[in-house]
Amino acid sequence: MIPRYNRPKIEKIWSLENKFTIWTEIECLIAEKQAMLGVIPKKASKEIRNKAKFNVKEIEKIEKETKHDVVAYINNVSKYIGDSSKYFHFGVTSSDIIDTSFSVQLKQTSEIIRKNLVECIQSLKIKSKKYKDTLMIGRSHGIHAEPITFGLKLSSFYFEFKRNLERLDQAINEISVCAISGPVGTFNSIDPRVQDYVAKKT
Amino acid sequence: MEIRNLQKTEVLEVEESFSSNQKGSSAMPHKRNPVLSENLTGISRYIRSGVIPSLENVVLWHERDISHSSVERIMTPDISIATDFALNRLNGIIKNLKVYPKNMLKNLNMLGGLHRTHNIMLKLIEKGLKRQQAYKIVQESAMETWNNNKNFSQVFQKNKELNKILNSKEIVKIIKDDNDLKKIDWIFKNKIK
Repeated sequence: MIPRYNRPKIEKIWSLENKFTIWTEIECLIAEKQAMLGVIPKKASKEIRNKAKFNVKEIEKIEKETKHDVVAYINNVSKYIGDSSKYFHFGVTSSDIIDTSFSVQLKQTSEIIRKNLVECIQSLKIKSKKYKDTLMIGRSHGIHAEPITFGLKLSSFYFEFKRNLERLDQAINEISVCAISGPVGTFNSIDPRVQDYVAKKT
Repeated sequence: MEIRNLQKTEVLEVEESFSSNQKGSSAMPHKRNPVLSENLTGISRYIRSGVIPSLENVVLWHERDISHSSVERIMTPDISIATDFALNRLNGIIKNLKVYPKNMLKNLNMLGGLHRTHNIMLKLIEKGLKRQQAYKIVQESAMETWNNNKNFSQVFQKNKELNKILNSKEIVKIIKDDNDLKKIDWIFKNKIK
């Protein structure tokens, strides 16, 4: 987006820094649950949690060779983790991380959008009450119809925005989805309980 | 859109706030344009344009492919950022909106009570006329008002057919009646909490 319309909070959500931070959190949670299930050593999970970090510029540099952003990311983080890195991203596929992270970003975004919407509803409510008795012409087809008040006109927007909020809440519910199910969704190489664990924690 | 329509010079019932150093036009110093609302009209066009790639993104090959990725990378941040900006701006417009009740009244009365044709027609039906007869009588005066740029109340008071049923006083009473407001009170009391 061009800077003119960019507000800092939402811009930050869609930054590479934030995306890789979410990826790292998801990967750490996967390792945590796998350690609980005895799939990977507990020590490895701890090391992954304590040492996992990344450098955006380094990832971009690696990606020029790998031509694959998740592989570039894994290689970069692995460098910081050390020996236990073989258990990093264990049994999962890129889409598990990307899609789940995308949902997290959408959810973070929707919190800001929702707040904006609630503020608009509040402003419309205050203004419609203020002008409840302010008489004006009501128009249908752009042509004078019957009298209304300006408050009534504003109240129609108030009700519309309240319905918009319901629709937004439905959409938030719909996008709040985690998928950690392997390359083709069969859980071939990953225990389904890992998905439940990540879903609860993100 | 509503604000843009109501801010037209001929209507001027509401206006966006216009700060003391703001400029409306590089050529015409008198201008006070609804630029914030116009900006939202444009941003909304852009936001709606995201619907097509979003829906097309549902279609992937077999268990999945990567065709959706580019759309997610480009469009989702941009549309989110635009929506955030638009809603924030909208809230500012609503909060700072200037309202001109005098102009609203002036516009309401510009045709001398033409907006009361429905109530007059109903009154005629109450007094015993068939709906079609009542409609015809009222429409004749209404059309005369439109065609000759006259005052409806005055035209109506000279309508001979009507005067057999309603006298001038009764007509003026209906035109000046603002019972509508009472039911608006009901809406606010029951629906806006």
